[in-house]
Amino acid sequence: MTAPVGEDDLTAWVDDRLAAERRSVVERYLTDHPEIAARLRQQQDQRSALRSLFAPIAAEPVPATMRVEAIAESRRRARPAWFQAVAAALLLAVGFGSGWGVRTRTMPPQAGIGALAREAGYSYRVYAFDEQRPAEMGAGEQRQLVSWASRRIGSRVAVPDLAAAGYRFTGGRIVATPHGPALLLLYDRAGRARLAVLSRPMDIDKDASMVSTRYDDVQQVSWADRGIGYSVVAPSATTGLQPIAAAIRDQAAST
Amino acid sequence: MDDRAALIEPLIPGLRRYARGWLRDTALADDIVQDCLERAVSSWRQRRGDAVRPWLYAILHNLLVDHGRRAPRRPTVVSIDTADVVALAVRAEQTDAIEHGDLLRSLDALPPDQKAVILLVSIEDLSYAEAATVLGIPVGTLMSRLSRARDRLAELIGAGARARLRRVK
Repeated sequence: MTAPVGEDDLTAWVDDRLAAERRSVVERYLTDHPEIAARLRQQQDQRSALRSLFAPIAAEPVPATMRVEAIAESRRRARPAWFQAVAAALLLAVGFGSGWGVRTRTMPPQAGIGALAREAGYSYRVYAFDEQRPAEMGAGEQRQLVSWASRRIGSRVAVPDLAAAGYRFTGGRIVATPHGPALLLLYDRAGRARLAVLSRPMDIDKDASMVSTRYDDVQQVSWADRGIGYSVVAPSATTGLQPIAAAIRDQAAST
Repeated sequence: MDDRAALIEPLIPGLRRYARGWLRDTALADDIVQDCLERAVSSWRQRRGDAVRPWLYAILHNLLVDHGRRAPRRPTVVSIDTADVVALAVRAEQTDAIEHGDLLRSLDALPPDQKAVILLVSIEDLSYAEAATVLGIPVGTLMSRLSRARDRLAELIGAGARARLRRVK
């Protein structure tokens, strides 16, 4: 006795996952039911169209940051870097950050987090690609930079430690924005484009959860915490920007 | 060699492809895969003998669903170039009758539950049992959901193609 042909047999036929014996049972059934056979053939066509559409993605080279060894290494380094960070006192301020959520959205460009992201993008394009003098003060003058920027911005700033993500602080400068002076910090990573962090006081959006945006060739992750806005900028092709933003936020909150 | 690496790394291309099935923004999709891998490495010992493949896909799937909840159908700030990269990459060698644009739009229009089964089974080639584990549902439920999802996808593709033909006329 043969079990009757079921929906599960038909689904498995589309996927070509039936044992030979069962397949011949199903195919006899399909010969007798041409309308069902037509429906399933259409599903098979769609299945192979989907597979060929997505196949090239799996052939793309895997980003180096996704290697298990790279992840394990950044975890090993994360702990000491964390304590250093707390000791060095990071990007500013008191208290704890509230929970963070990353959202991608369209934003009004004139004010708030949207404006901050744009300003960060402008500064990035001007300074990050400058080979000669991207920063006013280099990593060796970090202390002077911090006290200068804290005075100009009107609240205490510090330099986040991004060593866990493989980025080295190279220097910073004060930049002009429509909302007053802002601090631009630049980071380097071997073989990769620079990353920048812009921060300034916020008039509106004093607390805002993370938003990721992109304009043309750069992307930003921006947020505000206790009156200070932050925007991390990198070229659009850079991956792993959100974990870096989260690390900066955590460092600032734990100061 | 680290056995974690030997078990995890061969699955990364498929994980990236699964994330791209959900998100047209390549950088965002890769950020979520990165998050998935970091979680996998840090909770490797809690896995307790579960098969690696469905375990990894389940972590990724849950992150993608969480992301979808936080960013509910909002217009995203992604340039057209980025958004259509999948379709553009294959347009040149397209030979079959199904327009890739219709296919992607129809896939995006499926309810998340139905999209997940199609991506996991048809594209990622997970077994029915593995896909059921990823989604936390019985195999029977998975099979009928897959069948409904395929019918729905066919309807959407048909509607999209008809609309396109009307515009052309």
